[in-house]
Amino acid sequence: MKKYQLLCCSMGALVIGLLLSAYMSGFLIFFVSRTSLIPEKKEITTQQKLLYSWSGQKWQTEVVTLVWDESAERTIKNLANKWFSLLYQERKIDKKVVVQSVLIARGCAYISCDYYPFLKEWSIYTKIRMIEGLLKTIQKADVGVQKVQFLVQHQIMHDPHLDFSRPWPVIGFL
Amino acid sequence: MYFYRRLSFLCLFFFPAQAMQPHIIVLDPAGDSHNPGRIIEDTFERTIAWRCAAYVQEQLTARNDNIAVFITRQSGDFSAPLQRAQYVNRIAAHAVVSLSFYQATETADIFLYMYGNGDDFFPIINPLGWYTADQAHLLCAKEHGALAALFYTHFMQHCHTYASVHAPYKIPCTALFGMAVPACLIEIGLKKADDWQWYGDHLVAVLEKACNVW
Repeated sequence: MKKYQLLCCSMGALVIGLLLSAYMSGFLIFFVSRTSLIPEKKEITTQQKLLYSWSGQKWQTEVVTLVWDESAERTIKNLANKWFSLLYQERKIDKKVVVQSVLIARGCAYISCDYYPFLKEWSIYTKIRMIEGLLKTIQKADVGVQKVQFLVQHQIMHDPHLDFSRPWPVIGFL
Repeated sequence: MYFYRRLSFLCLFFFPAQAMQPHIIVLDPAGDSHNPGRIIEDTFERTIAWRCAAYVQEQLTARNDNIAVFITRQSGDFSAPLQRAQYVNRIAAHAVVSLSFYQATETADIFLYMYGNGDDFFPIINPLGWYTADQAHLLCAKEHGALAALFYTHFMQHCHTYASVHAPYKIPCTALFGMAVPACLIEIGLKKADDWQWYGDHLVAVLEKACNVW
């Protein structure tokens, strides 16, 4: 009788040991479903941010209210769209430019627009100041981005004067 | 006969080849057959830039025997940015001046640019190493600054009453990409399309001064 009990105990210990070993090495996965009838409430917050644009010989600022998202990509997309809208409203650019998508990788934000955003007649200085307005806006929004790569239709932006094949630092060049 | 042969052999020692070589200046007018550039009054930027470059070439070569001036494209030619960089690096130009113009609306401005992409804190130590095209400017970073400073000093002395002169900026400009020789980009705002000749005379004066300094 004792032998039978001892055999049962050792078999039980072996099975438990095998199951534990399988669980620890990832062969056995426990999935507990946490379905709930009450939808999760996401906190939607709004924040006031400054948009910078170069006007004449100085920086001009405009306060905008943004829906602040946890995702830095969506935040930059909102910011950039607002910034392009501001340029269009101020009649600095002749067509409205929309940011198609934003991706962040290794501290660099890849911003893809639907059109080449700048006017052909602008001087290089004006062009750089305009770009630096967007860079300054992103920098002051504090979204943890150090560089920005500008794209048009998900391709590298081509400009007759400026080289956009490399990312631009948010602190700018001037 | 023997005497002349001996004399020419001795000349090799007393007059090194470098001393007899002319100063090579390359002028790079903006635009090409694919890119007309900006509209200035009733003409295009590429026409004005090319005419200005041709004028500077004519003036410099007529006045100086020791200066050879080349223009990167002829009227109606196409030149890619890296093609220009390869050309100036191969001929080891002493100075490359890229010319660009635009229609000034309020005030005439003169902007000076050098190539820089934010990597200037890491100077090239090994001149025989492999470096990418966007690092080529680091091979003569000081000379870039010296050339731009010459232009800035001259324009400040002679043109500041007519145009506002801006100190040189380091930017990632396409025209100077990949150039391992002293190079700078001059962008001039023209109130009238014919003003280019006045600036052309000043460019000639600066380049003559630069050749005397070097």
